[in-house]
Amino acid sequence: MEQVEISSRSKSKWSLREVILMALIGIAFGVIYFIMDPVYTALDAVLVPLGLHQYTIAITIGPWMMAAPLSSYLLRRVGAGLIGELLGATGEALLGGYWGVATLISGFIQGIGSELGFTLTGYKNWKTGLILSTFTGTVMTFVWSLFHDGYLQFGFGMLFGLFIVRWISIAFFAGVLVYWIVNLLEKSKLLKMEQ
Amino acid sequence: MNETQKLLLVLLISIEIAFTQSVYLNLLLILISIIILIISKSSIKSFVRLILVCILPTIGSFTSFYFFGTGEAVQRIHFASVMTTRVVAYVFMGAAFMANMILYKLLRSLEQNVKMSATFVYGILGALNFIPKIIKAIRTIRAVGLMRGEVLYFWSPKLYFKAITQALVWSNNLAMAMTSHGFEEGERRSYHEQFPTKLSGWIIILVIMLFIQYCLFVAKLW
Amino acid sequence: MTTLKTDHLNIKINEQLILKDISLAIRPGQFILLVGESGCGKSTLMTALAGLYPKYGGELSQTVLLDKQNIANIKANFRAKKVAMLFQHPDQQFAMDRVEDELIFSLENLSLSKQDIDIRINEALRAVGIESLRYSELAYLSGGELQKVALAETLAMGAEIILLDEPFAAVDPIHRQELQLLLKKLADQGHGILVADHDTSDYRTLITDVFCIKNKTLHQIETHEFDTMFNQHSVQKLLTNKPIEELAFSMADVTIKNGDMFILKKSYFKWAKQKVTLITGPNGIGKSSLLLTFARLHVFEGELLYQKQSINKLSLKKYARLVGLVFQNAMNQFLNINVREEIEQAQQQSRYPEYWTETKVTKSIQRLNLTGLSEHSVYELSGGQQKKLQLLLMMIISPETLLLDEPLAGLDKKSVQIVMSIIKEVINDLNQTVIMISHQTDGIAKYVDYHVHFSQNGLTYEETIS
Repeated sequence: MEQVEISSRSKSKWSLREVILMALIGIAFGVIYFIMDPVYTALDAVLVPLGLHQYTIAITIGPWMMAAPLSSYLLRRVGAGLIGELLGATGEALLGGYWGVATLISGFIQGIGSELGFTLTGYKNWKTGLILSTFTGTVMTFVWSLFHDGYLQFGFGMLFGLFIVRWISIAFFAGVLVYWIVNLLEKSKLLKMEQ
Repeated sequence: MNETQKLLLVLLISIEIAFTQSVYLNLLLILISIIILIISKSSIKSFVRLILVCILPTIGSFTSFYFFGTGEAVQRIHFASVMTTRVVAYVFMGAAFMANMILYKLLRSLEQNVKMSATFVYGILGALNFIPKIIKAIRTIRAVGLMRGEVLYFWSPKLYFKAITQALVWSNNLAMAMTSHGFEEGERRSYHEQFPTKLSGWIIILVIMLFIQYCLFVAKLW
Repeated sequence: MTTLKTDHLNIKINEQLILKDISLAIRPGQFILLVGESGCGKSTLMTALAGLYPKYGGELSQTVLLDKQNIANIKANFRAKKVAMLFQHPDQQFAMDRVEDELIFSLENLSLSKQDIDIRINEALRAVGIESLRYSELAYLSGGELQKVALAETLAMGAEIILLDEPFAAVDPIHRQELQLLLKKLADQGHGILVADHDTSDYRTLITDVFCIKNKTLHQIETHEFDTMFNQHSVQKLLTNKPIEELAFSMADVTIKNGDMFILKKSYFKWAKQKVTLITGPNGIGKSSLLLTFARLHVFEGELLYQKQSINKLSLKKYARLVGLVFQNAMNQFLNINVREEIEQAQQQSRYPEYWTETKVTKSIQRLNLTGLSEHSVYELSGGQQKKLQLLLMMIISPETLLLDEPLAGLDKKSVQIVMSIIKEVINDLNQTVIMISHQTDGIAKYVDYHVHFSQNGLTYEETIS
């Protein structure tokens, strides 16, 4: 062979394997999310007549935001949360299909929200970053909802309630549950073997 | 219009209607989406599904903004209608876009038109082929749980952990195969088929966006 | 002409030595068969030779040389022109959804022009004889067809050295033979071929060399040893072969498909209750799909009864406690992280906790040689340990019927005997039914009550195992 090319690997760039991994995880989480669908519908059917549909959304936002902190953990890299969440949203969008482009936009907002939490720690401490990311994620997506979902029209009480419920959902799914999952991954030593 | 332009157009419209409030514009977008869906020969079944998907969110949007919105009744009705039609517009625009888009072409045109990294283009395409396998895998994980007397719910960390375990194996296998098939991150590739953006597409985008601005800010549609 | 070569190579994965002192050269015209028990390191060696380490995890003590260059340092788009690999799981090696697009993908990686790409696709599809599949969707192709596509892709890229890692694991006998002959033809045309296969059948007249991995090292098998190696057929007669009385499963007009391929067509068959039934048959025939069907993880048409009740009538939750599947891939079976947690969970959920006492469990752990592993992650265990643990867990759970998919894969002769005797003992004590698939049948006839052979013609009872 005449041309000699030396392959190089930089730590900041996404490898093919990492892209595939996060896209697969996004799709898998999307599939799991659909297990919840009947629960979601039942809950919504109760809340809709009361005018509390927004609460169904707030209660169920958490699972959509799990890809970002997980990606930050798995890849430990600036931007991993945002891009991981976007990849996840792409997988989810193609799985469900209905919301299509809207899912990508929300994925972007959610990804930035979550990523910010890790940025605040200077990417030094994942655990602190995780806790912060549930706040930044909640704030970011809430601000987006103020415009996009028309929350500006609501009174303070309603807004306060929605914020708290949303934060609880995000804190559980994208915080506690992700923490548990990561614990399992650590204990299994699968990732050490990966690297 | 090529696929990149279609995506851009839908993105622009989606963002614009997120920040503006016109029931008629939303209705118009829904109507156009339905026409596109009819032209692209969508089945009755998919229409029924779309409508079913919309029912709860639309009623939900209306009731929440009517009951809990601020301002006069007339204003609340207006805003509730805006939010209701917006939800439907999103669903139908999304469906119309998906019905006329070939993902392979979209990602490849993004690779060529906006220089999206080939690693992402082919990583995503490769992962998508696993959708049926992933659905099966999740079903299997839950069945394994049942065989061992454990029900795995969507809040069970084990369910996610097992799914990630599977993703780790598959991503490794697929990435190795793609590497063996000559894919190297960051290397130049040739294009068997070109997906150039078209001038006509840019003109369509411009006209549509101007028309939307006209509806919103000049005609001030309700 | 290209040669791939390595000398005195050691390979470590996760700091663990997998192979040592490997010396091997693949030259044009050679058709080399690599054999060895599953889990012996064949895949690791193939992956190293393909230049995929260290990028994908392995650590090499020596370089693998492609002509005079270190193959790991050559960029993938250059390397693929010389060396390519076919993988064990035919459905996990494609980036695209259609045959033509997949070939285009790989040829674009090589930066070829549209004209070149079209010419090469035509030639490659013709060489492999799959022109008719050009516009097919990969998702609907059988394992054999997928491997043909993979081979065509390899040829289109121009690879002179082709490495195949257990390429026939999911390939039916007809495709297997066609592919074997194709490989022979390619070797005659000057390609260097290395195939790792645990099944040596039909290779004898095709290959030029045979290597074997044993105890982490590579040995060449001399021509005069071929006779003993290729003729290991021993016929075992079953001890019992009485007519079936009580039924576990009964199938009436059952049709099972895998994608577009029929596995069983309108089959009528009876499966004995409280007995051990062994299923044998070639790869890719659908044995695993059959067990998955019994476990309600694969769709079917027709009437399938479990103890006189339609299997879909029972709730999934109840059914899963009655009929348990031991998966081919042990990793699928695990729910917890370390061995202790797994065993405790199984004891808690056992249907016979009074039978699976602490003593009984400890004794079984000892017999299976799993002592001292309790705090280890199940994902750290060796393949053989995982298989044994997986089986023990499901034995403790004790469903009425145990479906075992290749429970003996990767186990040495001694372990096979221990595993089989434990199975036999427990199911006699607890009146359980076992239906097991195994390609390894040496010395297991004495544990088996019935033998079902699964072939192109469907299912048939046989009195001997060969």
